[in-house]
Amino acid sequence: MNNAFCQLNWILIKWIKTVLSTRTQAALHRATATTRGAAKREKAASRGGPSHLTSDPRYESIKQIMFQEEPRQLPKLTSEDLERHQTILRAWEVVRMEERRKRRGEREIKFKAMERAYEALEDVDQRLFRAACVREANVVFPRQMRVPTETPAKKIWNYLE
Amino acid sequence: MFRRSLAKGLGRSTRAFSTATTSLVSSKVRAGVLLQRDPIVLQQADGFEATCDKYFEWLEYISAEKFPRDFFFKKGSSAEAKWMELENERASQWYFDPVNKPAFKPLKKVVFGEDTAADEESAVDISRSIELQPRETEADRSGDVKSLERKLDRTLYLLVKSSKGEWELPTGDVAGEEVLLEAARRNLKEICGGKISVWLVGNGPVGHRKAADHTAFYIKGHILAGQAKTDAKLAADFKWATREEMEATVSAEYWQSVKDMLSTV
Repeated sequence: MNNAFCQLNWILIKWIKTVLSTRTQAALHRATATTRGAAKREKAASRGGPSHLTSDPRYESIKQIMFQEEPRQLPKLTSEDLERHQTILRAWEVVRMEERRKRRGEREIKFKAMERAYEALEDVDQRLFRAACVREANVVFPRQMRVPTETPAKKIWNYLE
Repeated sequence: MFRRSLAKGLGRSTRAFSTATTSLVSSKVRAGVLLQRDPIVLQQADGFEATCDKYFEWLEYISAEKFPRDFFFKKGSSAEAKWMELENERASQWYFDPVNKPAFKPLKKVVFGEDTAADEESAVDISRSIELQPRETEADRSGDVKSLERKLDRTLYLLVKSSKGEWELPTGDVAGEEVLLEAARRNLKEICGGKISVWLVGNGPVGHRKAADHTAFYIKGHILAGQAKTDAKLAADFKWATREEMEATVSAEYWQSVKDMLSTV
């Protein structure tokens, strides 16, 4: 009885797989497929077979150390501590906001200077203006441009000698 | 916001025009370069920001998960000893109410009699191989304004002294059928020599200056390598100046035309 049910189930599953889209089939395969050695290892483990086929004891200890469920000890704050912390956070945010505003202001000033230059160029020379308005495609930063670091390199500047 | 306002301005040029310029003021056009050496070193946080950084670092430290010391360090190794020193230092810090301060238990170092001498030597060797370079260079101390290794955390701009004795950005005429970019590149090469690697950004100017007989347009450039070497016929001298130094060097009228192109850092 059980055998017939299993067989029927297997036939049903096979038929279902054929009507699924290729994408779903692939996903199903990914979820259910096992590696070639997995079945062998399972069997060996269930029969109490050779231990080198089952998990290495080191894996367990590594897993324990890396993923241990010890909860974080959050710091104990009194009400004054909390007030101090919130004041510091607020002051920090204000400083950052001011810095952002300053940087944006600088960008706007630079942009307006560029706009005025383009307007002046248009008034003076049309040919040069049209050439200046050409926008190159796929412009990239040159590779020799270095990103600033905390401290300089041993050889600070390349003099092309 | 920026793109829209520039697009509005460019829309004006879709009117029909003749090839010859019909402007009333027949001003000559000159092309110059705003050549900058970008900062080599980051700005250092100071004052309030530095203290904030310390505080947030400490908060993260006390809220962090327990460090699996046996997993990372071999018992009795020099790395473990260094870490324990650091831990003992940090554990004594506490910025909250001293009522809640945890009891300080200094970690004890495991000392192996024979290996300590060897360990110390190897520790010294390791520390010697990683040498951080100072942020202040020789050029800073000597005040060499021609050097590109001065003021590493600031932007430096190239200024040249014309034959008349005025400090200005390297500028020259636009010849024949040249466009601004080509003219700027040629002028820079003539004034500053060939051993200079520059990236000129875009095709158009970032700023301009209207003088009596000409209008000068400046294209932004970044110096990537090399050094300027001025041609004696075109420029008497050159220097790499920060924004403040530039303000002090050039004439007040020149500064008004040029200051909006510059960075504050």
